[in-house]
Amino acid sequence: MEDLIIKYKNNSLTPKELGELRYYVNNLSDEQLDEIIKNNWLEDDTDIGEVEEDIITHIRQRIGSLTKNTHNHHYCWWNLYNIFKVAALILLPILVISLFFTYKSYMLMGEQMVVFCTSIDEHSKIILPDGSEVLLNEDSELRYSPKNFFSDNRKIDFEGEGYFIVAKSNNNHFCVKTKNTIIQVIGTKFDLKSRSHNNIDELYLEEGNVLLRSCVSGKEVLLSPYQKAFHDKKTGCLTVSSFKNIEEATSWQKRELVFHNTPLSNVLKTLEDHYKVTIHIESNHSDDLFTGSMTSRNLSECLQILEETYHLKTTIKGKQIYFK
Amino acid sequence: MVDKYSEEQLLSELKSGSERAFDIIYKMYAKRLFLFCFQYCKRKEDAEEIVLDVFLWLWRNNHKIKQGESLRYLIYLRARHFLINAFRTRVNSPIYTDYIEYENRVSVENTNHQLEYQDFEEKIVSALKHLPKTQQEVIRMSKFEGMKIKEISIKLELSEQTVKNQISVGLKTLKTKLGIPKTLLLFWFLC
Repeated sequence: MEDLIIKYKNNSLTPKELGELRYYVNNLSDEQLDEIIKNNWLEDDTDIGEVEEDIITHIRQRIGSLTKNTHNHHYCWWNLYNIFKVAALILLPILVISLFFTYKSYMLMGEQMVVFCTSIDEHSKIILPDGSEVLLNEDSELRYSPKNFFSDNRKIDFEGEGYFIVAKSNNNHFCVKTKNTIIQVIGTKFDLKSRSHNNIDELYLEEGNVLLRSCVSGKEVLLSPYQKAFHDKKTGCLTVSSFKNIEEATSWQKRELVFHNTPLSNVLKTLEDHYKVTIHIESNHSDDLFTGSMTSRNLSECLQILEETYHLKTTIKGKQIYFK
Repeated sequence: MVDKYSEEQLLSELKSGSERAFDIIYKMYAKRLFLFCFQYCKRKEDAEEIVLDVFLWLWRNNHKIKQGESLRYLIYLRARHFLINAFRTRVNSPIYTDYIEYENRVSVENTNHQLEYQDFEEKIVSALKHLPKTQQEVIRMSKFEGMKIKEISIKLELSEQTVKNQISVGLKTLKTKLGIPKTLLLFWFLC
């Protein structure tokens, strides 16, 4: 058999031998044939000198170009894949964390209160999300929660003095809460004064309707335009009267203190508040009614006016003022 | 140059992707493999393809090589199926039979018709194309596909006599085209 194969490889079989070989091969299984060819290969030592170099070189070149492409291809893909992998590994946690913080701050934002406040001698104009305007007088504070401002009633917490121009909204009441009162309005303009060191809260209604409720007594009062309400913080007592000129209440906007038939004691009190001084006066002038306006910027001017009006002389010792 | 390296060392270098080791292995075995395959399948293009395939596989799968395996054997493993099939086909091919007979005749008659099998086959194939369609068809079926006259007649829906005639006429034309002595052609008819 092996001889036949050698002859086969050399094409030197006779037709008869070919016939024999064919017969042999057709009766062998693949495994048997495999064994024969394998041994033939392992023992093969034919002279390979005649094999053309070109063919072999050509094959080598083809291998070179094929493996180069694959190499690069794999490299490229490996690189790309790896880049993506690394990028994802880094970015994903960052994304998650930042989302978390965004969410948290968003939630907080909803919960957080917006606070506006003014310092001494500072005025401020605030526009609320619904378009309502609040002019803040000095030393005042306004707070509200953006989250609630639209969904519920429009609620703000307030302390100090401010002039409110409340935008009309069909569904939502506008609600101002001071320390001791709750004021509900629909589309109004009013001036509210509620300072912690005062005993009396004052509300001057210019336009619209206002429901004022005392948290101290639970009493309520509904105001109409050009009515003013005083609330005694201690007793919870509400007093309603009318006024003529809104400037009585809002003169602070022009940096003026305007008084109309105001008892002197109140005038002095206002000066005390505004200028942060303590005024001492003999009691017999306390009930005099004072009408006039003074600047809110200059204490000595104010004192001068009072001096002239009441024929008094002032003595100033630091923050203490004495009228004689 | 080749003896410097032991095969183990070569293999381990190949495994780590050394192109140099690959080159050495290629130089060691490519020629031999080519010749071996050519001797079995009788066609240069086919032998080329198998060499390419084996070495490509070797390079791409260098990581799969187990230490201790013989390179020569590995190469065989990759080529084995091709070799077995080529061997079976060629041994049974009528054209190859003709070729062998032709070769024998040539040496007997001492003419200068020394052809490689590949060329022999190619000549017949190209000459065949010039034959009329039926003759072509009939000869192709009988010579290349090894079909019996009866089988051909059934497939082409011709009578057996027609088939025989077509073969005879076709061979005559071929003879003139190929310049093969008449006597040789007689053997063709034996199938």
